[in-house]
Amino acid sequence: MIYILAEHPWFVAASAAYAAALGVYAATWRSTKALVARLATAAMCAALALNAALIVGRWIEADRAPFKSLFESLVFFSFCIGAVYLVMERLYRTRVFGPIAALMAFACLGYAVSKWDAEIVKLPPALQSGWFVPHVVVYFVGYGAMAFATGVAVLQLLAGRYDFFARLVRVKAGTALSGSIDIEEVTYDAIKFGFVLLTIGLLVGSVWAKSAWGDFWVWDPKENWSLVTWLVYGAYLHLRRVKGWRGDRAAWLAIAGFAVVMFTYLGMGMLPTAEASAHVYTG
Amino acid sequence: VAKFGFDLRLDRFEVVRYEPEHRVAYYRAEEVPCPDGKPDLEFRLKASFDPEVGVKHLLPGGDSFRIKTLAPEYGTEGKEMKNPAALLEVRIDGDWIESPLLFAHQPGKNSVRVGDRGALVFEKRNQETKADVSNVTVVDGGKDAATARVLVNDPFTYKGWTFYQAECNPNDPTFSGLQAVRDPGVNWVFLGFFLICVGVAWMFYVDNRMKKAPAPAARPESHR
Repeated sequence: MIYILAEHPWFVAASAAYAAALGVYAATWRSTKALVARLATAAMCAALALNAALIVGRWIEADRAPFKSLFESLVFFSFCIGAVYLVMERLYRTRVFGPIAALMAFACLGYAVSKWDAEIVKLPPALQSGWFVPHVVVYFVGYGAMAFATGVAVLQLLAGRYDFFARLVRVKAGTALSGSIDIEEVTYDAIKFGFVLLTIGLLVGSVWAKSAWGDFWVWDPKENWSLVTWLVYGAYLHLRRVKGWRGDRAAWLAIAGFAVVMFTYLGMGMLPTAEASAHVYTG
Repeated sequence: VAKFGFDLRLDRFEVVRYEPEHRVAYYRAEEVPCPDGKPDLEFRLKASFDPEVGVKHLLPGGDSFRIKTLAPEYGTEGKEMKNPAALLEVRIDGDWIESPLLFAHQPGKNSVRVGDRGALVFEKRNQETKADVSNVTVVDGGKDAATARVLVNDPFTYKGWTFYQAECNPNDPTFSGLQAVRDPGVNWVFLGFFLICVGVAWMFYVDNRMKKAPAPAARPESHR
């Protein structure tokens, strides 16, 4: 793994920036200084800029959208996690979720290194479509929102058990502001946003399938599992609204939803039907 | 069985490969599970590089290589028999080693070993399909009415029937499997999709009922 890092300084720089963001965001859990808070956001912005540079660089090098292999998609996913987080940071005016987001983005890049492909695989006929980029981008921004929602749900569970985390949420850690945030509402908002994107992604995929193969739905394992994902989050929204689910069980359901997302994203290779799938690319 | 009301003739099926015609491919022997339990070694394509002189490429595992010289038409044979040759410099465990001259069209003389399990092969690009193309002609009323190229992601429509590239055999230009679909209501389905997307966003962001669900304490009854 070291040889890859030695040859790709920009990749190291992006990872280091996420690690730095993680460190400084963690410091905002302890410090009330405005400088620390600003430094954390600055580190995250720098990490995102470097991450974007990796994507653009690969796009130019490959002469196609870099969403083909697992490695490429991981690099994009870490960008989406960071970008969604920054929007949420502005929206809720708190940095309390920062360490979790930075950790997830960093872990994502770290995993990308382990799945590194030196090659640039050329696009097979099925992917040569105008729907390719919107389909992937919509899905990954949606996944980024779901990752954020999961991080918040985890924090919610921790806040219910440990005073340290409860206090963080109460004082809006990392801001000069005080005033508690409704952490349930944050998870809900993120899942609503993600659900809209998952819906669009699924339907765009269906339109694409229709235009490529003549069928809206071909029972591809990834299709089936993305439907399962959609149904789980649909259940979350429904149970919250109709049955009034709140607290731990809602948080656990949000986490379970993300577990299904991760299986849909990474677990297809384990399925016996993977060979026949249009979504499993081993290069 | 629905009738088209016209005939469709396959003129030729072709597989279009990515350019350039030759490549340097990196293969690696991997263990593949065997039915009898003992794993088998199989060379698998791990990376494919366009031949460009001087560009250093990193291989999985940390070794690297670059093409030192490239002779697209090496040898004295005629143009039809051109035999491209390449000389590689390979860095294995930190040491640069020059390969023998590799000939793309001479199996046995086209590869160099990299470590225990890897090999670089200078060869004709026989994978990496750019497009599967069915060249077809519509015969309507006894005469040729239209010609078309049917590709994945680029179907062909004639008189309400749409033909999709569905099956093929890369080695058989006389065979192609097309899927024929007659779907006059398809735009209504697309409209429905669009309305679902708008509706989902609407219920969350415009309609007040889902915008901010009331906290359970504020609700008189959370279970019915």
